Amino acid sequence: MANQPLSPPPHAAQIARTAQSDETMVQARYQAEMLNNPKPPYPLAARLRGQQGRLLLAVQVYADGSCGDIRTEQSSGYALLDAAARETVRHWHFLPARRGSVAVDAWVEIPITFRLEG
Amino acid sequence: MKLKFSRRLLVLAIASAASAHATEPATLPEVTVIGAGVYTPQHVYNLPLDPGENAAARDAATLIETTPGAAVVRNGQQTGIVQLRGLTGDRVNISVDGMHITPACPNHMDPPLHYITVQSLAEMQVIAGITPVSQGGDSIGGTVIVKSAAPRFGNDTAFSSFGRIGAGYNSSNSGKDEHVQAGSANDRFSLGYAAEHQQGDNLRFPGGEVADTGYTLNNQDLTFALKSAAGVWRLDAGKHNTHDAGTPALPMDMIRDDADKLALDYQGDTGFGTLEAKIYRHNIDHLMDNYSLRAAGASRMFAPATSDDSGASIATAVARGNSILRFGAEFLRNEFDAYSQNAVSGVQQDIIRDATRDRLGIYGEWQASHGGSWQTIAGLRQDTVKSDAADIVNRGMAPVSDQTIFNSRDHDITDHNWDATLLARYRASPGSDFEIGLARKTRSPNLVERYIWSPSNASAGQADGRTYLGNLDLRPEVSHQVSLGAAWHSAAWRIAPSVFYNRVSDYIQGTPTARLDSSGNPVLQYTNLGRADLYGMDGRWNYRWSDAISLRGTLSYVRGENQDNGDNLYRIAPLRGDVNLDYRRGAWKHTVEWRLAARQDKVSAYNGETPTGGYGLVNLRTRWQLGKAVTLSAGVENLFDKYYADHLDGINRVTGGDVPVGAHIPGAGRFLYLAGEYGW
Repeated sequence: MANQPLSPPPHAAQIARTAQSDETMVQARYQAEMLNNPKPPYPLAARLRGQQGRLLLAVQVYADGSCGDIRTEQSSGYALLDAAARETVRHWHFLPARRGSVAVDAWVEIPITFRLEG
Repeated sequence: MKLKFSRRLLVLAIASAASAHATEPATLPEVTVIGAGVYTPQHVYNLPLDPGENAAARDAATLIETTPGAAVVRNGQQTGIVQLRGLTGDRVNISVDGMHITPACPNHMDPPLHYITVQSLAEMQVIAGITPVSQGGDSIGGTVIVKSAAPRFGNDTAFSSFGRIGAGYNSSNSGKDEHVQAGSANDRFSLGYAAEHQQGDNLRFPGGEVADTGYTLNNQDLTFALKSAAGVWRLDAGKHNTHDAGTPALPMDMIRDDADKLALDYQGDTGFGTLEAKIYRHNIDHLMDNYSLRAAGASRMFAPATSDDSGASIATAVARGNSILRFGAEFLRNEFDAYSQNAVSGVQQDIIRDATRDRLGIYGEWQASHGGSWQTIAGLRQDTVKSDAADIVNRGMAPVSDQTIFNSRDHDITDHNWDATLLARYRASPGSDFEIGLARKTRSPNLVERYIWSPSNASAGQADGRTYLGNLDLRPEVSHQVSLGAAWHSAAWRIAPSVFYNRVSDYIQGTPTARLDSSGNPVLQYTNLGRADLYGMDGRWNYRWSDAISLRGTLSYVRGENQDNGDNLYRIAPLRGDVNLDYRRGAWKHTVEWRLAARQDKVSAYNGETPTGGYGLVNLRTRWQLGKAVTLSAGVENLFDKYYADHLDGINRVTGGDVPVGAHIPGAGRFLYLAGEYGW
C-alpha cells in the first residue's frame, strides 16, 4: 500500500481513538455507501496465466458521487486486469469533491495493483 | 471483498475537494488486489524469451537447450526435436499455437517446432516432467507449449497502428533473419500481418564446413481478431515455406516443405471462469531427395509426403472456492501419405499409403488449495486413438512377400488409453517447498512405427543409419512416473532440484531381426520392450549478488536403460549444465555463459551408437534496450573456438565435406551475431 507510516505504529488505544474520531467524521453522510465499494475481482484467466501488474485509472467523479469517464492512464500490461479494474470502479460511489459547501465534478487517479500470492 | 481503505479514500476525496479547482487530479490510495496464485509444478518453466539471448537461435527448439531436463535432438539446422528427461519425438507433447502438428517427413525433418519461428514466439513453456492431463495426452514425456503473440487491441474506438521490424546476422553460417510485424487495432478489431525470412549457408566449425547444412525459410501470418463482451475471436491464416534445408544425419534433405494453416480461436474470460475453443487445419506438402544438396549415392531417390492435421478442442476452467475445475475435450485427425521414387527409373514405392490417425481425448482436472500449505492437481484423461492405412499398391523394389503379408492384415487399430496424474506441493515454510508427482501416461504407436511395411530408412528421425520395419501388433507404451522436487529460496537466492523415475512398459524400440539390410546390419523391427527405465535429476538455481549482478545455472542428468537386456536407450543427452553471470546496468544487460556437457558413453548397443566426448563452451552476450522501441543485441558464441560435437547432433552421412562420413556432426566454431529491432 502507498502512504506507509514512517513513524512507529501507534498504541492500540490511540488507534481506537483515531478511528472513533474518523468514524464521527465519516458517518455523517457517507460511510454506508463507501463500504459497498468492492475491490476488483482477480479474473481466473489472469490467475491461470500468472498475470500480475499495476495500473493507474483516471476517474471522473460527478458531484452526485457517481463515476463518469474512466481512462486507463497506465496499463498493467494485461487487458484482463485493466478491464476488471475499470468495470469495478465504474460502479463505485464516491464522496464528491466540494468547493466550499457545494459538490462539484472532479477527476481522481486510482492506482490498482494485482498481485498473486501462494 | 470490501475496501479497507475506504476511510482513507474519504479523507483524500475530501482533500481533493479542497483543491477541486486544481487541474491535477488527486491520487487516491493504492488498491491492492491479492489473488490466489495458481499452483504451478516446479518442473514447469516459462522461458523468458529474452531477445538478447534469442538472437543467435537458429530455430525455436534451440531456445529450450538450457531448460532443466530439456535437450534438443538435431539432424539438421532447422530440425530441432525436443527431448525431455530422455524421451524424444512423439513421446513429448508439443502444442504450437494450440495445434498438434504431425511431421510430414517420416524422419521428422520437420518436427512441430519447425513450424514456428523464433521471432514470432511470444510464449514458450516447457513442462519437463509430469504434464497435467489438461495440457495434453497421448504422450509419456513432458510438454512444450509455444504461442505467437496474442492479438493487440486499443483502448478506444480510434484505430492505431503497431508493429516491429528487425534483422539479425550470424557468422556461423552467414545466417540472416529479417522480420516485420505490423497491424492496426482499436478496442474491438485487430488486424495484424507478420512476415519473416531466414537464410543460412553451411555451418562452419574449427576445421571447415559441415556440408549440407544450409536452409531458406519464409513465414507469413495474417490475423484478424474481434473483441466483444463475450470474449475474443481470432482468425489466423499462415504459410510456412522451407527450401533446401540440408539434414546431413538423414538419408535425404528437405528440398521443399510448404505448410498452410487456418485456425479459428475463441477465448472467453469472465470473473468466474474461462472458455477456450479452437478449430484448425494445418496442411504440409513435403519433398525430399538425396541428390539435390548432396552427392548422389547409388540411386537417385526423391520422396514426396503430405501430412494434414485437423483439430477441434474445447477447454473450460471454473473457480469454486479454493478449487479450480478444468474440463475439456479435443479431437485430432491426421491424414498422411508418403512414397519414394527413383528419379531415373521412375519406379515408385509406397512408404505409408493413405494413412489416418484419429484421436479423441477427454479430461477432467481438479486443482485445489488445502489450507494454504498444500496445493494439489489431480486429473483423469481418456484418449481413444484409431489408426488405419491403405493397402500397399506400389512396392517398388521391395520383396513381394512384404506387400502380401502387409496387405493380408487388417490395418485398422483402435487403442483405448487412460492417464492419471497427481501433483502435490507442500509449503513447509516461506522459504521451502516440497513436491511429489505421480502419473500414469500412455502413448499409442505412431504411423511410422505401425505401418512401415518393408524395411525402410524412415524411422521418425532416429538417424541411426539403420533400416526399420513397422509392426501391426504394437501396443501402446504405458509409463508410470514418480518425481520428487524441493525448492529452497530467499529474496537473494533460489535452488530447486528434482529427481524422477519413469518406468515405461511396452517401450517401443527397434529390435534386430534375422533379415539384413544392404549394409549387412540386421533390420530393426519396432517392438514393445518389456520395460525401459528412465531416471535422473535436474534443476536450476540463481543468486542475486546485487541489483546489477546475478548468477544462475541449470543441471540435467538422465539415464535410460532397457531392462530386458541391460542395454542403454538410444540417443540420450549426457550430463549437462550451464552457469551464467548477468550484469545489468541501465539499458544494458551483459551475460557470460559457460555451457558444459559431459562425455556420453552410456550408448545403445542394438543400433551401434557411438560415444561422444564432453565439452565446455563460453558465450558472451550483450543487449541494449532503448525504451520499448529499440533493442540491439550482439554476442560471441564459442568464444574459444572449441571443436566439439554434441551427442544429440547426429552422425554425418554426406560425402564431400570436411566431416568424414560416420563422424559426429560438430557444433559451430566461434561466431559473432548481431541483431536489432525497432517497435512501435
